[in-house]
Amino acid sequence: MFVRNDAKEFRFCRSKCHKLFKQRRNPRKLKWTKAFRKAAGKELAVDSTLTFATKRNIPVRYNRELVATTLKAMARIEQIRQKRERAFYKNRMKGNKDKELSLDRKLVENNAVLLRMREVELRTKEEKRVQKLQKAQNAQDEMDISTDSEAEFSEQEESSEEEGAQKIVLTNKKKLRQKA
Amino acid sequence: MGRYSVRRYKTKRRTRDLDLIYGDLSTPESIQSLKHQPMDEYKAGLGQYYCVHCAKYFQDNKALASHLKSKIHKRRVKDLSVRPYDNLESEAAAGTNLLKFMERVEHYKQSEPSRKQMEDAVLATHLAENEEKDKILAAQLQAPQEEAAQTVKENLDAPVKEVKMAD
Repeated sequence: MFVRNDAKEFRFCRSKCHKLFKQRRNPRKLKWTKAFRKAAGKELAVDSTLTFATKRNIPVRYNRELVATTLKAMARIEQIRQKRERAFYKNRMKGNKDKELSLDRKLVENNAVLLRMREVELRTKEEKRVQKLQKAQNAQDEMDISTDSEAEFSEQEESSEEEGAQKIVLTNKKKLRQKA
Repeated sequence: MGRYSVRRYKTKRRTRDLDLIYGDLSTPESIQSLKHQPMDEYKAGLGQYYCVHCAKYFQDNKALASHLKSKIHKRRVKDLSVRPYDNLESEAAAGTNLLKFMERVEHYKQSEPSRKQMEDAVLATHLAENEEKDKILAAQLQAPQEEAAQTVKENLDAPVKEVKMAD
C-alpha cells in the first residue's frame, strides 16, 4: 500500500502495477487494464448488475436474514452479470465471420496461381494481355503523331535516359517498315 | 526497469500527481494563492515563480516564461485537459462504486468548460503580475540604497568639521 501526502491510499495487486504507478503511467492508456477496457468499450461498463457493489462507510447491524439474502443475491447477480458479459462479447465479435470471409475471398483472388484455379488464372492473364495491347496502341498513336521528328530524335543525344525511348522509337520504326 | 529509471521513480523523488494538480486548478482562489506564494528561502527563486501545471519553482520570471513555451509544459497542460485518473475510476473498473463514479463523470462534464475558461483567464496574467511584483521590489530596494549613499556622504563631510572644531 502506498499512502500519499494527502492521505490517499493506493493499493496494488502486484509489483507490475506498483512499478507502473511509480512511473506515473495512465492506466487508461495501458491496453491490459480494466480501466482501459471499460473506457474503450471492450467490456460491459454500464450495467445495473455492476451498481450493487458500493463501499458503505457505516456498518450495518447484524441481521441473519439480511446476511442470507445478501449471499443469495450476490450469487444470482454474479450469474446474471456473467451472462450479460458473454452477450456483450458476442455482440462485439458479431461481424467477424463476414470480415474473415471477405478477406479470404481477396486472398484467393490474389493468389490464384498457388491454388491452381484455372479460371481465375486465365482471367487475370487475359486482363494483363488486354492491358499490354492497350499500352502498345497508345505508344503507336504517339509515334504516329510525331513521325516528322523521328529521324532527328534518333540521331540526337545518346544519353542513357533517352536510350530506352530511342529503343522504343527504333522498334516502332522497324514495325512501321515491316508494315510498309 | 534500469538502474537509473529506478532512481528517478523513488518515492522520495516523487512529484505532485495529476489529480492533485487538477484540484489546485479547480478554483480561482487556489490558483491565486499558488501564483503569489510567501517568500521561502528554501525554494528556488524564493518560491515566487511557480508553474502550477508542472508544480515547479523557477529562478526568475524569465525562466518561468521560457518554461511556459516548452514542450514539457505543453504536454502537461494537455494531460490536465482530460479528466484525471483517480482511485474511484480504478474501483469502478473493478466493479465497486460504479454509481458514484458515473456521477463524478457527469459532474466533471458539466463543470469542465467553465473551469477551463476560469483557469485560462486567471493564468493569462501570471507573467505580467510577476513582472510588476519584481518592479515594485526593485524600486523598494533602490530607495534604501539611495538613502544609504546619502548618509555615507554626510559621514565623509562631518569628521572634517569636527577636527576643525577640536582645533
